[in-house]
Amino acid sequence: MDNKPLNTVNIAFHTLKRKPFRTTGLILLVALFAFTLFGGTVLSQSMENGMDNLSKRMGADILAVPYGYEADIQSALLRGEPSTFYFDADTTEKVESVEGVEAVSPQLYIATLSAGCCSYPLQLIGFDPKTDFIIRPWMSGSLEHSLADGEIVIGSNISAKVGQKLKFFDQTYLVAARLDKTGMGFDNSVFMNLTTAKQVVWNSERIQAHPVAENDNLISSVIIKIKSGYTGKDVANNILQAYAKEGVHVVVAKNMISDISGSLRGLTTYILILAGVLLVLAVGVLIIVFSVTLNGRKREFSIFRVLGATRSKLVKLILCESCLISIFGTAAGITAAALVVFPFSTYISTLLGLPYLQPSPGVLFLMAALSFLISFATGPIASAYAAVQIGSSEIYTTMKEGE
Amino acid sequence: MNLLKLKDISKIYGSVKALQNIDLQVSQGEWLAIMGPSGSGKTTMMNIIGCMDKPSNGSVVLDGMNIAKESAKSLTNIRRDKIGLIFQQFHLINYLTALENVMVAQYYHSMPDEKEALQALERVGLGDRAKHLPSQLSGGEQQRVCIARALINYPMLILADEPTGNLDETNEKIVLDIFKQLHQDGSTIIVVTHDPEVAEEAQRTVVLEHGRISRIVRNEK
Repeated sequence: MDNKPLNTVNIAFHTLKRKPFRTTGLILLVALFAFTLFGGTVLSQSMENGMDNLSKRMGADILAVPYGYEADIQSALLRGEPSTFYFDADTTEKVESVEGVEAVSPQLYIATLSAGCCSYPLQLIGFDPKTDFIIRPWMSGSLEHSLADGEIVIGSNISAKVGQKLKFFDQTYLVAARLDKTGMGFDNSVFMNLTTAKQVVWNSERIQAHPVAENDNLISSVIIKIKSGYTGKDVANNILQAYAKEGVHVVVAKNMISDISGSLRGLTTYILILAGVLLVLAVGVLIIVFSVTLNGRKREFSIFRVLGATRSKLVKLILCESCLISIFGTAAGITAAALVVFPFSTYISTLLGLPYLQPSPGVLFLMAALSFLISFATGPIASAYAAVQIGSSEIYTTMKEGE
Repeated sequence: MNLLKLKDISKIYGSVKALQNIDLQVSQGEWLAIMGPSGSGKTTMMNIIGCMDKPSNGSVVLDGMNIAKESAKSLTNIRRDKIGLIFQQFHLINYLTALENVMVAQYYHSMPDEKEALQALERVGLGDRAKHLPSQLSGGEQQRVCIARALINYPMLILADEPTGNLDETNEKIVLDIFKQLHQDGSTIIVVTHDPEVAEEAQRTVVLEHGRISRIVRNEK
């Protein structure tokens, strides 16, 4: 305490330093709670944002895919996992003729390789700019002209700049635009028109056989918009009735979103339960530790009382000690959560398999502030009971007990 | 002029009568010793005079104020402002240095003044031990820190409970010399002791037996 003023904070620091293991343990406990609270809140909020964005940007009401590839299209949409599945291109016209269908557009998925021929192993999505109604609207903010042959638009997670060239199967393609973050698999995808996509396929043939190179008349999926007055379920049934035998299957966007929402709710509930358990554990352990500790410090408090410390001053000292534990624990927990959640957000989103869109810095700051307040409160709340107990014993008798 | 006046004081714990009908007056500047065997009521009397307990009956007038009727909070303030306490077991805060132990009394009284606290330690011959923790001090040195702490807020009454009870002969002499100096400077001192030699240094000795004053002796010294 040399050269530092003698005050309640300083005395509290001394007391905490005196029991380093106990103090460290309590700080770690609060830190664990703060970590779960902040980290969990950021995760669940990011997934909720991703979910909202998925609903907004999905665009299509139904996706027609080859039978058996329903899960693959979800992986491609949600996580951008490279997928390859194909059926005849005339499926587009077939589906268009089904009752209740308003618009259709084909898409072609190509997976690049983790090899010297390609800059990245990722999902390439070829689309038809003339009929497309979901990708072009997102591009309108980033790309002023229509996408030319040989040009690509990249998702936000792909580390390349506009004007740079990316190599796929030993051919380079000009990055014409970069999309904003969506929290979906599109962040890890590259978009191009169908002509360019087929060019990529032909180039890939030099390295590995590709079904599209063998048969130019293949596509991966058809995105479908339904007419008003029809439900996705009805139109999906119409498509299945007509073309299921030809290997056409459907994914209804609303059902997919509803399934993901269910998973998200489950995960959010789990995070909340974990945070609740940790809160109860942290407060419970702190109450016990403070009560036991203060019981062992009765003599010390009696000396302070004899020296003229009022009961309120002793309460202030106890609260100060618990506040210091809370501050250090909360700061450590929130910092640790930030160091885990922010740099590894892409990895976490892949791991969770759910759309993931991090809140804005302002919202993150607000969440950090709220988490700080809640976590910080654990210390003072836990020590309040012990604090009111002090001063109730006979001063001099307590001092004499230690003799 | 009386600084302290105890009138018909009794203290009863259940069926135990710790003090019975005590009448005592202590003048300003007087050095009084309280003696008696264990269980005679010395500690109870010290607690009451030191504002750490209240009598069951009677009045305790300190500096013109009947402290027997004051609230616990008010007693804390009176103890802080008017009384300096010295203990047999020293009761220093073991994680604070000698200087900080003195300053903590200043902190709870008004505000810490390091220079003044250091002067108090120098007064008891411990200026060079100011930065030492209690565990680094001998028993005699710890008692002198306790005395410095008791004196730091200029109390009108110094109340010492067996101040030499844990000290060897050399340190006992040092502490008694400090008390003599304080007495010469005009301090009012009440010492609770078992030791007749310590009691003899006082002007008067009150002898307690079974919670009653059995006799009051005026010492020759």
